[in-house]
Amino acid sequence: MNCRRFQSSLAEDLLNQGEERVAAHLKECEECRAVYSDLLEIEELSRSLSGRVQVPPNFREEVLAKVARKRRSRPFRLVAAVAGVVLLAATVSFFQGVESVDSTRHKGGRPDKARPAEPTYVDVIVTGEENEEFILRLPSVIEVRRTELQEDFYISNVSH
Amino acid sequence: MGSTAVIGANTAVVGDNALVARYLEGSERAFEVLMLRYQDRLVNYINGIVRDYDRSIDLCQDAFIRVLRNADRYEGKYQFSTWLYRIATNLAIDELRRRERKGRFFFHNVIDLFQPGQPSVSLPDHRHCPERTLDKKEKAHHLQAAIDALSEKYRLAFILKEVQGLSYEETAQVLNVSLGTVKSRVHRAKMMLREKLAHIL
Repeated sequence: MNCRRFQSSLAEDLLNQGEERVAAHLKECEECRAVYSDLLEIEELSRSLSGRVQVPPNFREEVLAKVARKRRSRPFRLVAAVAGVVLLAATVSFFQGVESVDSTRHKGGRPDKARPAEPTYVDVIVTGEENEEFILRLPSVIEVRRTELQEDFYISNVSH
Repeated sequence: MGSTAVIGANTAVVGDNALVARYLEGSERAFEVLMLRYQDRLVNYINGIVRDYDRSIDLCQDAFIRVLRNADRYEGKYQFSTWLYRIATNLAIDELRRRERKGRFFFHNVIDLFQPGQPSVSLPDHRHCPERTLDKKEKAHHLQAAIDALSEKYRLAFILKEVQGLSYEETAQVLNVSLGTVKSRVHRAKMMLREKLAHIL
């Protein structure tokens, strides 16, 4: 075996696998012994790099708290958003027929006071767990019921 | 007479997979044990890549949060540690990409210059003082700086195999490359490091 073959055999980890030809070359070649010795020193030094930093004392508590917050955040935000919509809907009902609410209207032209008001919608932006945004198009009158399941809140029913 | 609990050779260590299963059954404590088992290894690993302690802590927390949220999808095909390292690797790479996109120059090596005993990007040249022998700690600092200068694919393979002590097989699974590729990258990394550190080895 020549030096080149020896060094490529190190890449294949053949020495650690007990290949006799590789070990024999190492015994007889001073240059390859120097390479091998350097690589062993690099390996040894590398292991000393593994424990240089540690997590702060409250690390685990923070992870669990973040997970609990994330679990709650979406339903809570939804409830908050829906509560906002209810408020808006109440305002819209109060001012029914007033043109200033047109910005939230997506159907029809000018409201006709003689006919029942057409459905009015509002767009609500809700932030998700990954900071992505959802646009919820909701009718002006909705019914919200809240159910409690473990620690999370879910909206059980949204209807006209 | 009171009874005494003896923790000895017969005490079985609960495996990672069993802890994941217990967590899925509702035991938060099981997940705390998993975190305790891996937190320091993982933060060292991430810090070895992103070289920013505070960001490493954030990313390490993110890695555990991802594990928690996806625990029900863990099939046990690979070891739990492999899965965890893979998640951490992806987060660390994302962080590096984010920095690249922002075009932010990362100052850790410059800051190191002002901290005595810390690694710096410009290694002192000890060839001119051959009588000086560096101690292990100093050599480790030089090695760290040399690892930082490796390109990403060599750095990741080297850190996983030689710093973290994973097997070639595990390293290949974490990086999602073949065994041969990992062996070649680790060896190539070692040869590059040897060249960079020739004056201190």
